[in-house]
Amino acid sequence: MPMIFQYTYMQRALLVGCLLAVLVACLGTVMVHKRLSLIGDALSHSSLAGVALGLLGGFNPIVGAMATCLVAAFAIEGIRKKLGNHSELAVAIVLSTGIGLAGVLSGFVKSSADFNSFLFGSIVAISSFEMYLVSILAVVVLVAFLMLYKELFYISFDEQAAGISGVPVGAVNAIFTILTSVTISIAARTVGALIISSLMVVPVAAAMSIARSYKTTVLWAVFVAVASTLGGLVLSFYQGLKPGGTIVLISVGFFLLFRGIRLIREHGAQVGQKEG
Amino acid sequence: MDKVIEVKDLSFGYTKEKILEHVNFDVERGDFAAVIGDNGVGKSTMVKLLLGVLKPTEGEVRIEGKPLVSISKTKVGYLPQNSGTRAASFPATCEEIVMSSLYKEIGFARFPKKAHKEKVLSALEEVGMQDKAKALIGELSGGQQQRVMLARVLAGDPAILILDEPTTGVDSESVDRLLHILHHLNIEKQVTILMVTHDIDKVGPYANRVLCLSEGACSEEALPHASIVHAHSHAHSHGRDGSTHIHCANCEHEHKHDPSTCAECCHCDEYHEHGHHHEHGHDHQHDHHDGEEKRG
Amino acid sequence: MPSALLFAILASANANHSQKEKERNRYMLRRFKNTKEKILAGMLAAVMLFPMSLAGCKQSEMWKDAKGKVKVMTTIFPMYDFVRKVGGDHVAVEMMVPAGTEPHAWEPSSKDMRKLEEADLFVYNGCGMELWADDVLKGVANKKLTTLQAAEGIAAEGKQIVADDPHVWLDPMLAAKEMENICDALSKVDPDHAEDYRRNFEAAFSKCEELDAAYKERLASYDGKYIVVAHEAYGYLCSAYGLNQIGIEGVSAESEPDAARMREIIDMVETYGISCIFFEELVSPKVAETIAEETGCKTMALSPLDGISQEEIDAGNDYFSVMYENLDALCDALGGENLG
Repeated sequence: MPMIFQYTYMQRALLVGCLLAVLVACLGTVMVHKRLSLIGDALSHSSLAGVALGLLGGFNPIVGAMATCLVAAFAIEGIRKKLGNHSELAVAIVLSTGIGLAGVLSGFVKSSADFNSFLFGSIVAISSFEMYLVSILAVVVLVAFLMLYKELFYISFDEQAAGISGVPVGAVNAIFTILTSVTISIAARTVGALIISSLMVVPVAAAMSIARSYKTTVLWAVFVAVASTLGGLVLSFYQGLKPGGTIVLISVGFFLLFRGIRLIREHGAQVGQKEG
Repeated sequence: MDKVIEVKDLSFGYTKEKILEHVNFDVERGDFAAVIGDNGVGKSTMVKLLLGVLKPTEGEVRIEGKPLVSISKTKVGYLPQNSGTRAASFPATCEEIVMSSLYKEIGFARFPKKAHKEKVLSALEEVGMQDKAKALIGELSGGQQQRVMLARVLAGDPAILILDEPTTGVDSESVDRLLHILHHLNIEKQVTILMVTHDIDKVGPYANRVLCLSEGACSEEALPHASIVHAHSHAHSHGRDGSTHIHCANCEHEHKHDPSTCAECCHCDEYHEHGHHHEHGHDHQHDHHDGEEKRG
Repeated sequence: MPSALLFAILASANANHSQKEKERNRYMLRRFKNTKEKILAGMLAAVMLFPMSLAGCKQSEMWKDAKGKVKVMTTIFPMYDFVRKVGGDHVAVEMMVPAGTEPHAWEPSSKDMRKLEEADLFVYNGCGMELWADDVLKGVANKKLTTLQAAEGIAAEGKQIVADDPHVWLDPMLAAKEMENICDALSKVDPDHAEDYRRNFEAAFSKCEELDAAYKERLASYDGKYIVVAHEAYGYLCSAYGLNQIGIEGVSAESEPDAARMREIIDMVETYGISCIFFEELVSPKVAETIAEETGCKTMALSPLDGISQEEIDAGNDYFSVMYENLDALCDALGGENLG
């Protein structure tokens, strides 16, 4: 057995990391096409405010994080509809509110040890409770994503036409918003906000560069997210690099690689056209 | 005649200021109706009202004789404005995009079957895009993208097609091709077509009716209401029965008449001899009252 | 908008206008064509007036209950506690970095700066603990302010200097040296009470000696043993009592270790038969818990004192009580060691 599998913490990191990579890539594909790329940042920051609220109000901070995440996600949906052409502002507004609220509320939290333990997750420090939580979450979100694949595709492609065709746009959006906020609030606590907000966007951007269909976009995004997570963990294990940053940089590497492949392909097509 | 779209006394405004006021017209089965009008006159608003995306402040829309509740329950297909260019940045194949409109047949949270795939291919064939089924929408030309979007609408087997400015931003050759496809659908499959357009020179030869939505185009004294669907003077007369239908909002009659006498038509004094049209006018009124409680 | 600004300025001008001025103002007001513009202008005026109204706060309110006392500004808890111990009733002490806050990255607020303008003495630890202290001191106009770097002259104590570790006070004898520095500084600022300060210092000094003796005695049998700590803050403590520290993180406490470091620590825990992983207030206990779970160790708190919470301060904990708690934890951890 390779050394990397001999340690429980690495087994957990690999398992939870891969599960979350699959989830976040799937959610990210939808979010990017709904022009809500930064929703990961917005929700993970808003969830900090929830952690502070939980500590101040004397209830479970994870519950607080989920609650504020849900409120923030629905606020984004609501504001997005109102703003029309400027829908991307919705994310920025909620992001700012989240940061501001977290900043002010954290000032009232007396013991920063508590706060820190909920604030930062680390992919190499995952408790068994978190592992089970993420596994259940993964099953729920993946089943929902597959069942609603067609509906989500239609809504992200053309929300109005989807509504006209009879897709229950409101319900599907609501289900998806709930899944996204629960995933982000748990994942940010477990592996850190950096990994989550990056893996929501970068693998999708990479996949869009080379995919030949929507289905392959999703598959490539999942591939890039999982490969980056595994690569980052292996590098961190053998070379002593910080896991979060490494994972993110590898995914950016994939993006650059795929853009390069696309450029070469397009160049080739142009040359082919000229010759033809 | 079988009226598939009936618009009665339709008014709409986001604020107190009305964009559309007391608009009346209807479209019969098998019509190819072109809706023209200056920019800002409310053509897109009209389309949204026809689709039920916006709710009228007054009046009602009836589709195939029933008051419009949800467009998804009707056989209306809709091709939005600039549908092709909006789709271009989306990483999906033509097949995937056309498949999306089979939503109702496949069902909520279910997967498509082989029959659905065949249907998609035949829809693509109808617009001459079957070879590009596996191609990314973004790699097609503007005209091709638009045809794929049309195929998406056709895959849902619409009896009525509503198109919003389909000739905008597409090259002339593609416009011809699109109109040819629409003409074919109109004649062969008896699909009723309502097309908002500003390109009446191109569309005119295919349309059997031209509806003009205007505001201030006719003098205000003659026309008390700001927005009126009005017979438009136009040289073409390519309707199936060889004439251009003229629709007068004032007397709510349908006239088969030389459009150059439009101004007289507005005064409504000499056309009452068109008996059966007159009857229709009264039918409208009754229907309107029956359906009145539905609005709002 | 320029007209709105003009109105704001007019509106912000004080009362007692002459009749003529009032008329002119009324004329200016008329230039705002509609109510909306007037409301906007009024709001702008209010916004502009708001900071002015706050500026009216008297500075002396910052140091209430400090009448006749030496006003001492300190940075972190050990400094605060030492000044409290040496100064007794003659000083009013303020702790700048709030309890439970990571002191490296902290920055003073404008309120802190105003307090510093009024203070007599500023005590900080130095050795890279308060990286912001130099900038703060540059920004202070207070001419009568005396500044003390408490860790000054540590090298002269004949102790080994631990590079990059500012946690000098974790060695009780060096804590005593810091208190002596504080005693000297207080005597200079307030010569009238120099004798009292000396007496207080000597009392504290003997307590330090007691603490040192207790550490020496109880840790004597664990010479050369390893402790696993959240971050490498215990260099002075370890060098004084013959222990070795393994920090999950380096000297600065970050949020996340890398996977290779985790492996090294787990391997070392097994090699040295360590039975306890220490966590501390300012670092998330998650990493310590993960290692503990992996190796079957227990976890315990070991405080480097700079991140002590307000609750602990309110409960009457001071330098000595926390250091004795630390000693108990250390003995517990080292004594419960698996010999194998």
